[in-house]
Amino acid sequence: MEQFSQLLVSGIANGCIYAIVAIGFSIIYAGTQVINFAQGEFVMVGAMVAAVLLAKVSLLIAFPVAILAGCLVGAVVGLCVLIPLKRASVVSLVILTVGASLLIRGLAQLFWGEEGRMVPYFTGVTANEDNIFHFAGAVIGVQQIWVVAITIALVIATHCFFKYTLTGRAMRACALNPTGARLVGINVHRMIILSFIMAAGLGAVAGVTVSAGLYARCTMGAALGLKGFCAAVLGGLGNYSGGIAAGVLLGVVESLIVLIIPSMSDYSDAAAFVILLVVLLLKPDGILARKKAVA
Amino acid sequence: MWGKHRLLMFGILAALLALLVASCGQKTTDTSEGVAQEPYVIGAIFSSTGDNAPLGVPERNTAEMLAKQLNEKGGIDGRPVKLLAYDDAGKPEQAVQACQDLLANKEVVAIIGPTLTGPSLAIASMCNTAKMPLISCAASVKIVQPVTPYVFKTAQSDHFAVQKLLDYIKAKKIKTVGFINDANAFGSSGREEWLKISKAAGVNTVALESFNSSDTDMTPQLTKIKAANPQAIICWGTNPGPAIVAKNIRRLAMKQPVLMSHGISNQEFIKLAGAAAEGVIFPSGKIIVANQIPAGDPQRKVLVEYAAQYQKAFGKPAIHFGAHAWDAFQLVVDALKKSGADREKIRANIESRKKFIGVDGIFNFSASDHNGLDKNAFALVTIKNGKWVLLK
Repeated sequence: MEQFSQLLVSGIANGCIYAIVAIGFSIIYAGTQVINFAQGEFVMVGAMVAAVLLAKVSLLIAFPVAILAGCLVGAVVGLCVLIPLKRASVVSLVILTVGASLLIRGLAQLFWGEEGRMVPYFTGVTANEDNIFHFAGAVIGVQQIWVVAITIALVIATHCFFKYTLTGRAMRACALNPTGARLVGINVHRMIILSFIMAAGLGAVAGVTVSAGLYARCTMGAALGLKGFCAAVLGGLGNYSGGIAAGVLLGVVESLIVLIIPSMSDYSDAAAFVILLVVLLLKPDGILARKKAVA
Repeated sequence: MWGKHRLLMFGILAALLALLVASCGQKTTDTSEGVAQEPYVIGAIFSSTGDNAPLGVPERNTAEMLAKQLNEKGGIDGRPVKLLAYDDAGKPEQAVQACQDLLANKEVVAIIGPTLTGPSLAIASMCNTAKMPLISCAASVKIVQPVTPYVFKTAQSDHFAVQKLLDYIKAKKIKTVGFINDANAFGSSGREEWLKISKAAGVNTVALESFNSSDTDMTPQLTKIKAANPQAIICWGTNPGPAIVAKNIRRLAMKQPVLMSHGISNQEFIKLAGAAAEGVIFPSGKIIVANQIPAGDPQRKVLVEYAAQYQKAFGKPAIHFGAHAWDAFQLVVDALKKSGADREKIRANIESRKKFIGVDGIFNFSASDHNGLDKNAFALVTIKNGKWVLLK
């Protein structure tokens, strides 16, 4: 039981990060039908900028600057996708994002080097010792609470943005029907750039949060991006609540699976992809997809 | 309007790409300027970019520094040395490509590197077929076992690291151990060795787990180890994984002694693990505690000298990994002095070399042993107040 609750705790915390990354995938997909493979690099940029700044300034400055840096990179990638959008097929745009991700990683390696950089805990006893407390037999780090709290805050904020603000509604309109949206006077291009900026900002938040207490490294984006992608597809691309649920689920499954696979726990990473395959075969629209009316 | 933007965009992209390409790939260090004679060309393959750059960069630095020093002193009997260094980014396929390049170059007399076990294994048979002496800097014993004629290695085999650690475990009367390893070649090879040797020594592995190099949370695996309640925890891996393991162990409030491998023998581990690094015990090459080695030790002179030279040249302390390149480079130079550029003779010279005092240890090569070291090449080191301390 003790083991189970401990595994659940770290599963949920990891899953929350996947969920944030998954939202990023969905936002861009909804706006452009493009799967943005540079999403993982947004996470990395956020983490690296925060790590570099935290050596000099406090988290209160480093965190927002890291998000801004992420948004900036997002805007640039967005422009790269937007410019050939009309002429290019979705596949070539997806390949373009793959190229962008390699480029971002390469440049980051040039500027920041290869070594991992320590990122202090948000509210630890010291920079690299977290406050912990015990709950239901599990040891919980305060950083894990931060991860969950930030995820919940982001989910609520994103939800409210899409539901209650004019810009958010305009973005949804573009996703549903770009031509219609243009006819009623929405600047579709601006909305697409905005979706990239939002996705990148979310990614950067995930990056800073996940690396706190651990390390930031130029090569960290790929793995997180892939997990987030799995979650986004599992939840149904473009389906926010599905992506969030799938992200958390993925984290928990990955964590609990070590109980089943004895002594080869590195295979828990494969769990994400096995689940993805199974779900794609059985429920191609994602786990939370509603049944479509039969035509 | 859009056309103009597009052109601009492509221009920027092309420029950035060009920059990227220019910064990757082959880096030739021409250390032979101003010397008239035909240089000896030594090939090198290191992981100077990618996840394992903290290992590969000191190796490349060391080889370049030694080549420069040698040439400043007039080279080998007046002939300078030219280092042809490639980067494999830690990837076997890139190592194969670099190796093909080097094999195609008739002037290359020997290859030092690669940094990692995977790439080393990938090119070992190529070098044997091409009759090219290869002196690997990687850890796994598999590179030289079974022995193949042209492949040597300077890095202490993980086999001896496990033995050194087992000596400590036996001395402390520890009977049960929880073992967790990185799933990469280094970690899995260490795990194999551990399971083989520890059983014979009567130490019981009550929990056995692994993680991926890119994982950021090992709490699940450690939770399982915690439940098995072993007397000590061993983590076998290369950074940054072990640093996270150390932190997670702390978070889970596990009180057992933490033992690790020579894979953490660089500053990065202390930097990333911080307070969690305190008290971790691991076998390491003696270089990181060079100044604490007692005066009577035959290696002391070489160790202190290399440590001082590296610090002076690069402003950073010398580590374990650079030492592998030191030994590999000096072994090739040692053979070149005797035989000149004949690969066959270089191979024979290295194989018959005894009592070569290197940074990694004292090498005694033979036809059946292409590593030439024993467990005395390792020292047990612990971390106190963020510093390495020799464990006596």
